[in-house]
Amino acid sequence: MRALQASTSYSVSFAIPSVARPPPRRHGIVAKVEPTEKSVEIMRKFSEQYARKSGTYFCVDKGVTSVVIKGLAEHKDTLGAPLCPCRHYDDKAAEAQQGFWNCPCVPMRERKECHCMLFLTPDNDFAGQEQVISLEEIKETTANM
Amino acid sequence: MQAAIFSFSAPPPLLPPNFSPISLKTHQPNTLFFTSTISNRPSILSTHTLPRKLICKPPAGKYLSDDYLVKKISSKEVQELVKGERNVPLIIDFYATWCGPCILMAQELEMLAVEYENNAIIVKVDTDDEYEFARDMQVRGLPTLYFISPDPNKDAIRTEGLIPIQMMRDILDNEM
Repeated sequence: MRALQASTSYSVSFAIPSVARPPPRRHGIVAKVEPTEKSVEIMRKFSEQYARKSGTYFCVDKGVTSVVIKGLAEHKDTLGAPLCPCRHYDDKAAEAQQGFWNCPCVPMRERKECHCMLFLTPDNDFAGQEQVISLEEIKETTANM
Repeated sequence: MQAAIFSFSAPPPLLPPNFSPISLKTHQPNTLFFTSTISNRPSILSTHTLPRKLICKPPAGKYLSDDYLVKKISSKEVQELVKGERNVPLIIDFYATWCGPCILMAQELEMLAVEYENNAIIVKVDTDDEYEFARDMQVRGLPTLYFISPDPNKDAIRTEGLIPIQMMRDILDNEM
């Protein structure tokens, strides 16, 4: 007869999330996966730093900036590299390896052209005055996506 | 300047020198972003997580609809629309979830849908869902718009990037 394990020695652990995160938005339809908060933070810092370095500004509508930052974060999670979210690719993995469209993409590096409207030159109609964006702003403006 | 690439036979309309940016209501983020056409989708900021129960019928009217006018459709439905009988132009908006300009474009298209009502059919296709279809249509930059005339002899017009609403009106009025 097999000796039963003592049940009193179980250590019960509750999974208590240490960071309050919005629940994944799965409603039985196609789930748009959210990027991880860590990637969003990395891409946010990158965007601020690159905007400063290149002398470009974020859009007047920070929602656009937030969405693009989240798109970059999502590609970074799934592909390992922040592929431009405003393009359609035949083979995403190959493009990520190749690097032309890895943010900052070649058109941005060479001609300061960002069709995602993430980095806008001051003469652009949509350019705002800011080169900063906070994590709260990103969360707020993409809250109901 | 946003890139607007025209292919096929349409002569490129002139971009107005200072087109006024779309009025961006930054203090009302909730109305700016469009997701799917599923209504009753609770916002993350809402206090309830269950589907909305209608206590009373919402007011109905010409300019009131509880869902977005521009519907997201599948590639099969697009093909049926294109092949089927139509006497109004068809606009197909290829977008991606995390593409910023696509969201501004979606706002413009909603406004256009209100203006044109039944004089144009406007639909949108998620390129992440309909991967093969987007590839077949040679979609590269996002957003990409296809303007398809009801006249089968006319070529379709394709634009890439964010374009001002006036340009869309010009194409619909003059080219279709």
